[in-house]
Amino acid sequence: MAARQKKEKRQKAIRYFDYSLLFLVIFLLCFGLIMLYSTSSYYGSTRHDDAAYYLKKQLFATSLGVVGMVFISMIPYRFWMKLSSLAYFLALGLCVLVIFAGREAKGQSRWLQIGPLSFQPSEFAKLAVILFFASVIYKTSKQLANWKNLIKVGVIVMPIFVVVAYNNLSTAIIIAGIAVCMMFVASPKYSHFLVIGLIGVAAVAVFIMLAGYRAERILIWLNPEEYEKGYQTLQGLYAIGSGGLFGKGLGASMQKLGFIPEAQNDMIFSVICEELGLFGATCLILLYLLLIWRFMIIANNAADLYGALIVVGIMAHIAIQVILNIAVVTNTMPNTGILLPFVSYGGTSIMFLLGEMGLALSVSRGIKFEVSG
Amino acid sequence: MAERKRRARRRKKKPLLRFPRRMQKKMLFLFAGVAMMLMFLVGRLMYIEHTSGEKYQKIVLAQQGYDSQTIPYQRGDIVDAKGTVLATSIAVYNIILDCSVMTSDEEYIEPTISALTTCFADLDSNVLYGYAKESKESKYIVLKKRVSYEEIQPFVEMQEAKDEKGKKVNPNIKGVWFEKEYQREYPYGSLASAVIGFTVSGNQGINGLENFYNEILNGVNGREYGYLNTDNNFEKTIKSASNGCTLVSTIDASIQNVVEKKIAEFNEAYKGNFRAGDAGATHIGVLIMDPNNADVLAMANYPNYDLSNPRDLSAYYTEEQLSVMSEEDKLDALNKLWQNFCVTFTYEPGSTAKPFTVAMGLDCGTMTGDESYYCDGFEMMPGYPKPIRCVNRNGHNMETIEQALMNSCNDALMQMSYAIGIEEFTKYQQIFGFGQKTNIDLPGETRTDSLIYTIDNMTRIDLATNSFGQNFNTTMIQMGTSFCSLINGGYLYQPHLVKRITDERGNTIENITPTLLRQTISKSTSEKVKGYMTSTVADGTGATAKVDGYSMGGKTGTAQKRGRDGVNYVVSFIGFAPVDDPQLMIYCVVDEPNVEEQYHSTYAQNIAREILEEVLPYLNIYRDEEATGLHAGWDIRGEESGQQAMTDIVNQVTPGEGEAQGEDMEGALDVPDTGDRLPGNAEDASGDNTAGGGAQGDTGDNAAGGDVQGGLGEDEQEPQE
Repeated sequence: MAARQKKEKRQKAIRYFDYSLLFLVIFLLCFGLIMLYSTSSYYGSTRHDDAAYYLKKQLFATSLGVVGMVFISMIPYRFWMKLSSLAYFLALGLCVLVIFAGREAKGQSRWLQIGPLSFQPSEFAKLAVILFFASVIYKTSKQLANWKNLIKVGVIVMPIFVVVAYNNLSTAIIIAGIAVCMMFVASPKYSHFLVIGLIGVAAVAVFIMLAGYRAERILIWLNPEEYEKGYQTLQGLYAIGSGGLFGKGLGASMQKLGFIPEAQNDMIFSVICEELGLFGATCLILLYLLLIWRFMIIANNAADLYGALIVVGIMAHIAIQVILNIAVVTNTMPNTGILLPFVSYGGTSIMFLLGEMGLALSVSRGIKFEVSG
Repeated sequence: MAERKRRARRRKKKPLLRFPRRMQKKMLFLFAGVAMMLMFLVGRLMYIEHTSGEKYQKIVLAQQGYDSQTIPYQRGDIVDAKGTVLATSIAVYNIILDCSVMTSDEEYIEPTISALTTCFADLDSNVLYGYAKESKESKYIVLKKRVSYEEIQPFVEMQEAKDEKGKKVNPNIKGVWFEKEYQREYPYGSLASAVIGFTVSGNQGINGLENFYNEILNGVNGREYGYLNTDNNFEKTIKSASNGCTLVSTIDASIQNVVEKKIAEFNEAYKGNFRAGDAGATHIGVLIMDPNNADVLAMANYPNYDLSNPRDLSAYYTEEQLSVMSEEDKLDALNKLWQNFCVTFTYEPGSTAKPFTVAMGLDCGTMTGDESYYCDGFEMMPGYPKPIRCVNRNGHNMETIEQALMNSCNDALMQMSYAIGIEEFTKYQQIFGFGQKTNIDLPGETRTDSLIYTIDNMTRIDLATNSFGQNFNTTMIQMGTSFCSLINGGYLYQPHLVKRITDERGNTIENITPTLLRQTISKSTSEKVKGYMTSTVADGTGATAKVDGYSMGGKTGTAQKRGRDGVNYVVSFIGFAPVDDPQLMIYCVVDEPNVEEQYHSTYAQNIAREILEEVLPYLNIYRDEEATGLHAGWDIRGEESGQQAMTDIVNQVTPGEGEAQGEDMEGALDVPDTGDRLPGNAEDASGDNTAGGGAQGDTGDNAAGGDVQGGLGEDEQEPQE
């Protein structure tokens, strides 16, 4: 009896921590940095006289992000519930601010310059939406079964969606996608979401009709060879096609040598295909799938609904970005600037992604074993 | 409410409420959806790979730039014996605009163009904006050619400037790069122009050492190129250029400089003196050699040209003259200008050949040195209507060999030649190298084999006139080289101008040692001849050349030019110092001095003396005689100009006293012209009066066209009277 009690005590002392997720994240980070270096060294050396120029900047952001991740993973996630509304409005404010005071780059102002650091508020907006939406749904999860409440909840994210969409439609779409996924999981219904999906498709169609340049993108998508602006897409496809089964070998990409513009950003997946081949690309996709699977496990076993919903949001975020990025690179959908999580170059993006990983780890820490018997 | 419930549960330590089952289901649904989409994308990747993989692979390879870029080599320098750089190649840069880079971003255009126009004043911003508009895709626009390293620095600095944070100040200057090239430079302008020569584009040497050693001076271009290796991977390789070798010349720039300065002085002094508008002489050539190894220490001629600007005729022709000249005329004039007088000009040497005749007689044994000859002032030759006169129409009476040389007596020399005989005379001419090329390391040396007699075609009158240096032709380098053997104990060396070839870092690759060709005369003969020539300078016709305080030997020459018009002469002086151990041989030739009476060898002697006065101390040769104040205050004109003119008149009126004044005018007298029977002269009936040998090299990048014009090769010759 005493022995059994002892054993029970020990079992209760085991605190869960999702090391699988942690290792997946670390692996992806390292892989991402290696691929980033391989891809960006040409641009780094030609434009900045330093092959490691992009690597250094990314490494700096990653280090900050890892520190943040560890820190956040140790804070009980319920702490964020109280701050979620604040985060949401802060994100909203920053996204408005960036429209007026943002740093211009390539015709779009997406960055806020704070001293030597630049910061992309839309990346923060994703995290803020996940936290805020999780707390909203957490409070209203029971009522999501009817349309009225669903729309009510949906309206809450409308302001930030509109503000972000003003100059960064792709991020706005991700935010909408995250929100829809979280609602989908929380709602008991399926049919509603079929309707939402259809409405979404219709909205995108209307949007394309309204703005001429978006219509042009569709034409480029269909026939990249015939348009000057299809150059990037086409070069990405050349990279994918020329990689073969096992690729040309790490660092041996030819397309990164000035042919794929800004290869270290959206198009990095094409360089991965070229260097590591179909095999490497498939492995990377499987890694993402594994990551998403871990999120599902954590959500399913989360200590409470709030934590679960946060993880659902994070999972949606990663899944949407990965799918959209690869879809763009393979010309499965029209070109839009979406980064490949953990791999693409982007300091703000990697920092907030790691923040999200910290949150997911924090939720995993909350999991308690059910002691059987 | 739910939260309160949950908290209550926790407090009660009841199992926590899990993620509701339905939500887990939905989660699985979501996961399945994501997994399907990802699998679809993998399928898409496979599809792309399968359908277009090979095609795309080819496109990728095709769009690689395989065009390779040349890395130019640096042509080797030419330096003098002391290391003074006479010719060098310096890096210059072409400013290239890659318009496709500059226009790749609107932000680049304005900063780049404004930087270009600020740093390079002669670039027009309108033109540059024109490029930005109309030649967007152009990757190679040459904005400016051959800009020096210093000139491009402001731009490079502007481009590279960084603020204190290490951030570039002008990050938007894009698309400008500099293509390296080498440009030949001659730091001393016209110094030793005939020896050095120049290059045309593509490092092709024209004339002189630049031409003769062209292959050695040139290196091999490097290359930067891309290729596909066996795995079809693209590789970029840089093969660096190997630079050319440096020539270390035997020329001493200081001696060369003195020589050229004195030639210029002479020209200045006699410019327009008799023939209005002409220079001091038609040609002047000076050769200084080290008699002990035939190293050429200085080789200069007038006219010369600026090596940096070899096509400039303005120094010799007025603008009106140039404007009426056709391209061909100009080319002819340039070819004449680029001649190296010392190796291409052939002429009858005159009395400077007399020491050779004496040496022949002594060496072949038909003369002992104790002979004496009676000079009655002339010699009648069968087949020639007029008497062949000596310099002194009244005759020199009885003379020893030494006196014959001192007086430059034609009559005595003719008698000596009879003693030598045709067979020995022609044999010794060959031994001395007359009629043969010296094979000096310069292009365009004239052949003279058809300009001397052979045993088969020499007659008695030829022998007689040859004995005092008429009716056979030589070049200066032949005379100088051969004369060295007369004074160094009989050793005939091949003359040369380059003594060492080094690599770009100065490591010796090849030492060119003096080549001993043969023994011409015995040492004792050499000593005797040296002694006679010493007397000639001390008390004979060569007295004008004497440098105070130095023991010297030498012989003067005044040769009637072909046509024997009694107007045009080649006057010369050949000499050496010091007598005991000759360190220096000087040969000075003045072709048609610009004076009324050209037949005074003093013109050549004055130049020789003026040169030696500066060169002997420079060579650390110490005075070996008591200084007597001889020739003090003399200049390039000899004595004070007024007195010199007087002397000339006196000499003319009473030629018999000429020798007493140190005058030498043997050539002023009738010399039969038998040269017509020489094959080389017969060919050239038209009588082109210019230096022979023809021009070497082509006209290079001359606007008239790249044809080789006027390029008589080494094997052809164009002798003159």
